[in-house]
Amino acid sequence: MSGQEGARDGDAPGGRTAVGLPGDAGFGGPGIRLLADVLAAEWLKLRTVRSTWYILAVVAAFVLLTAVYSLYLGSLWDGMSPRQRATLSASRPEQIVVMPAQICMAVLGVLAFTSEYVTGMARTGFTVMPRRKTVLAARAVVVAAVAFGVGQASGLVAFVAGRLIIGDRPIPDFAGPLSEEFPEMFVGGLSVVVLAMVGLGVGAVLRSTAGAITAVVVYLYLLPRFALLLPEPWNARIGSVLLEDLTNQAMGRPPMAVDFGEAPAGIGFSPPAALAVMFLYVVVTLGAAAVALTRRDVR
Amino acid sequence: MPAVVRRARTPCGENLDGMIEVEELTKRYGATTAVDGLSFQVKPGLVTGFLGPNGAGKSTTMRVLLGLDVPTSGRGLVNGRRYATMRYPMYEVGALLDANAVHGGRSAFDHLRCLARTNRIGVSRVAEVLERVGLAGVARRQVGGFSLGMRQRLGIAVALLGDPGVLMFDEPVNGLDPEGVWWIRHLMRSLAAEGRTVLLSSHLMSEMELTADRLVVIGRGRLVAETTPRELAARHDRGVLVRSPGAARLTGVLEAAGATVETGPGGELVVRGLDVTRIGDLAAGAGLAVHEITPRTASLEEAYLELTGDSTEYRAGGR
Repeated sequence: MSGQEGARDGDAPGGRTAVGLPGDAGFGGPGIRLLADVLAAEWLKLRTVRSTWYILAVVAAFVLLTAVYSLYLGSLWDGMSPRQRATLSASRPEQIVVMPAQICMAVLGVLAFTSEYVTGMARTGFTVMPRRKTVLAARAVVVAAVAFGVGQASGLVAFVAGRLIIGDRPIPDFAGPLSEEFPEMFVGGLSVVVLAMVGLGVGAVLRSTAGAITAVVVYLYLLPRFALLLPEPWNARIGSVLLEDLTNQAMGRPPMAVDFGEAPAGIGFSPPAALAVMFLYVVVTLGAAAVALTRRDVR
Repeated sequence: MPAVVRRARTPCGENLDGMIEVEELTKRYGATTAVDGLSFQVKPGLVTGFLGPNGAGKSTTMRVLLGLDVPTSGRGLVNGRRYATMRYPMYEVGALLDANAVHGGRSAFDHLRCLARTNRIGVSRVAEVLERVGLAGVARRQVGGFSLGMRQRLGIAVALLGDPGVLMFDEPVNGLDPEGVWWIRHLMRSLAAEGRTVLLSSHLMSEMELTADRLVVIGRGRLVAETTPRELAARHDRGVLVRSPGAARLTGVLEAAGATVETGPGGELVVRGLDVTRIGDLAAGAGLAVHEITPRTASLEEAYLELTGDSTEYRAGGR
């Protein structure tokens, strides 16, 4: 008898002291507190796997590469004749870093779900927390927050490093103040969040890492190339609704087909409209994820 | 030794009766019917063995009870409620479905911490359960490097995190060494003795013989028997084997006393309707020598095989 009770030592009558029950005191309603608990757990999950840190390291490596690019551009400029300098058109490092940041955060989003399905952790996770939509919401918020930080920070660091390296060389497009560049950089950073959410949604629906990453990469970077091969004006029309060109348009540039002179000017979205279409992508993929999560049995 | 009655409450103040109820449960995956109109109940304070051959529907039933699968029809309830409606289920139900269902890149401590945090369970409790399952020494090691036995212990730690009144374990002794098997058996017994509800699935009868108070036997998704290990063995009583040089005369004596007697190919007798003592006394009374007298109770293993024999989905060609 005492042996049996011994195992329960420390328990208060009718309750447990070993494990504190979630009380009703505190901020917000029960739904909000549940979401807060799941958010904290998802943040912990993301931090405690190596893949997260590998992905962040890859982004950092690309930022470093843009610094190398700036060094190269500076030395190129120094060796140019005034005629060559006048016609130089160079991409800025904060523009170059957007695409690698997008891919990396899309992979982070994909892995948020697929790593759990591939390992079986999803079964354990949804057993201890059966509110699947709450889990989806919390996971999306955590991944979006990281992607936002990564998108903004990578652009800003690339920008600042680039300016420091270029110094006072009057390279076209490299002279404007930060306040002038910032809106475009901010939008570039937002596109990184969009890609992360699309990756997360596709990962939740497909449940396979290889499948989801392939789908996202094909969609993101292969489809726009094929769209370019279409006869005008369809090359620009189709291209302009794909995420790569939406990013361009949101940053104030024309769709690639127009930019390359292969389609008449005037096709495409204004930056706010492009942003709205990108937001629609997020709504649709996360909606599909919610349906997939709630309708299907957990694998 | 009376069981300690647990009167637990949920965070919302509901009383928990500790019952697991499966009602007319059917689950189909495409054309395959995994569970077919299954009904049974599991009561607190006992270890209930959930037995069936591989593919009988044990895991599917548990998956429905845990809200992972939606039943085609019927329902599974824990504490009178559907699992999927629980807000913080770890305080009510602990489960180990698949010890390998872990992310190998996390340490044991981080794995538990992530799961505990969803139900607002703190790190001190994580340390406690690691201690209880004997993994405290390897808490910082990556789960990917764990043996199956260590993973089983980790899965049990997850189940215990919320100190729940209802526990479900799917084949927890798979992959364990003898010491681990002994440990699980004791853990199950002590959890039930604390007044908890313990549902323990296995395809091995020998395991249940030593651990379970009650048995729910299923085959091909249907209930085969709801019984106790003792009842199961008794139901498959196969008479008493008697060898005697005076078999013919003894047969007459025993039949006169009300027994039915069959004679085997080697001249041995199989006697039903009389127990060993009575047979011995009758033989002595008739002045007959008896060389062997053995009660032929089927082992639980045999009884189980007999019960589930018709329902085994996959079978070796020889049978």
